[in-house]
Amino acid sequence: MTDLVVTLAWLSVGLPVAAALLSQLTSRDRATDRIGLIGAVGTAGAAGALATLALVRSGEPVVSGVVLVDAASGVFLAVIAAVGLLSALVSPAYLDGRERGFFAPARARHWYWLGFHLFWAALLSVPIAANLGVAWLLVEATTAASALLVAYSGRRNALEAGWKYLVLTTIGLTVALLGIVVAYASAPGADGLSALGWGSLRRSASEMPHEAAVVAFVLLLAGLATKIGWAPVHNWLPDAHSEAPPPVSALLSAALLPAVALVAWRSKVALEPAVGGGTARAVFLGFGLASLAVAVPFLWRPLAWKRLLAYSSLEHMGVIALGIGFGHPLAIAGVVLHVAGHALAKALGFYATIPLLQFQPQAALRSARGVARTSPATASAMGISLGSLSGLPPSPLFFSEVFVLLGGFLSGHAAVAAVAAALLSLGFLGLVHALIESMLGEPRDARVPERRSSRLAARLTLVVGAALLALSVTAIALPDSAPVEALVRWAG
Amino acid sequence: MSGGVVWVLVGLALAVVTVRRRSAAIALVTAQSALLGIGAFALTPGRSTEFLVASLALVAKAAVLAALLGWSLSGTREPHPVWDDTPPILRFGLAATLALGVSALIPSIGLVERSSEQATVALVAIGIATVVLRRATLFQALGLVVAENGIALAATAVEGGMPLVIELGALFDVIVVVVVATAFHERIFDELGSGDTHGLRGLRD
Repeated sequence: MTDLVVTLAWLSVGLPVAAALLSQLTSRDRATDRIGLIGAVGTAGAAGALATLALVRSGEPVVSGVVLVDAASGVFLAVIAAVGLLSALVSPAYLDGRERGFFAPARARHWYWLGFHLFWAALLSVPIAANLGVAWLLVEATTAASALLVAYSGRRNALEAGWKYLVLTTIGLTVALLGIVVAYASAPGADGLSALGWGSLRRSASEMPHEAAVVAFVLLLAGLATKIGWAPVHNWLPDAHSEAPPPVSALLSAALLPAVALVAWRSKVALEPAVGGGTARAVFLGFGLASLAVAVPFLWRPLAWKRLLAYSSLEHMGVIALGIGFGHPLAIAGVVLHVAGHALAKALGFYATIPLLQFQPQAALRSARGVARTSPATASAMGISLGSLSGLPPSPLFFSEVFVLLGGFLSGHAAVAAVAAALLSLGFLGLVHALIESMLGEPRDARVPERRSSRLAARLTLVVGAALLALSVTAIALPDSAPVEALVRWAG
Repeated sequence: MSGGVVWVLVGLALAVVTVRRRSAAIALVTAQSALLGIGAFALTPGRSTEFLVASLALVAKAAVLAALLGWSLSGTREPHPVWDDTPPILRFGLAATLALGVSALIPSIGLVERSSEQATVALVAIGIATVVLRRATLFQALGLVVAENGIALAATAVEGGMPLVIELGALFDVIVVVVVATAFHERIFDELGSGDTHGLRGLRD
């Protein structure tokens, strides 16, 4: 079984790399698209199979060299594989009709697929990295490819967003690397890469000097927070999410942020014996509350659709931080459900931008208006996305937020949970208000929607809506499921 | 690495925050990277082969970054100097104060020498200060390299050195980031006719 798991792990990373390289070999746009899509289906198949194995055998984690496949890997791999596949499928609809951009038009599509698949490969490898140092290298590797994708449109705002993303996240990851150096230097008898393995770190943590371990942990978390987009180091996030091509925005929000949050979570589990449970929890709870507090006021403002989704990412990463910080089994079940539900709902929201901007181009800069009148298919995609993200029942995010908050109360963090509940309620009202405003009213500068993009929106709504409903149905059974029990033991 | 060498590294970083010309800043960062590589190479006797490889990679990094940044500079001549919001003396003062502050506050973090610990955090702080205080894209990219040089200094001061995979991986990553940064710099230059990031202020809420 270990051989099969390791083979699937290498395939999950190798297939997108191969697709990235093969997409450069042809000169025709359509052929490049075809290679990109075939590569995406293969990658999602391999990663999906690996995620299934990890979840089915969640009690028996596989560690082989730099590969670790456990329950946490399974959850995050499944999410990254699903969002990556959906993003690949909608990419041709975005790419059609693009004329000028960051890259020369003749090769722009080739660069897009190269960056897309390399970014996806790096993302898929993060949850299966068995080592803090390797995980850092992979997170850093996501930066270069995704920064170019953020600026893909070549517009001035996209250049600003891409540049800000590149510089700020690189600075953050440099600080995180300093944390890794300090952790390595403080680990007794550290000799070689294996000393940074998650298991080795946890074993040696109890013998680390407390002060140095705290410095390492704080540097590591502060640096990773920049990439996760936790407040107050989130400045790149609204810009990059709003300026990137919609399929890339979906990957950034639904896959990149949670993948790096998993590295932060694994770091907490590994270093907790040295840092102390209280300190480690406080750091996560601090980031969680700060992210909610910063995000909520923006959810009340009439923002452009993608910018609104970006601030909602900040809010949801805050919920995930709180769930990890509370550490209660119910909160951990909430984190699992939240990662999956947020990914699907957010990805759908970003994909809806493709038809939205075709018939309401001003929605790139200002809040959308009267979408329900102009394009019911796009309106239903936006409605299901924002309704779910707001936590409106029966959205899975309603259940996950309840789980996280209950976990907070049950773990003795009543004050934090109460403040979070108040902030989430305000966020809910803000998003519902934004939803009503964008659906109703007089459409401004509306053109006739294209039939093809409306069909795309309708199909995606059907698929993602069904998946969200399935998540809600399974929510009740989730806290007692084997994967969550395995996660609780691991985090324990 | 001797205390004198590590403080020269910090001095070079402070000069990067202060100097006006981009070419001078590139020369300073190249000198800093080369000095770091040579300093690490001098430590190789008695250490592992991995450490030797890592120190040679540091020297190679200095050459690669100098070539990359110099090439990018030659293709993007600024029509007018990019004036920063803060005058040079104030930039120097702010960066030096920040560096001294973090050096004094940092507790022992397990490196071989105390001076390396202080210089490491000082370099990271000055790198961040460079990104914040300088407006030109190339200066901001140089700030990233200065901060990364701080980490490389820490890696040489770890008992036995950091694992080679991490050292080489981090070096490769910084080179890739600088390649992407120069691509951005050139594209921004095409768009604005200058590498001044103040031209990129359209995204506000």
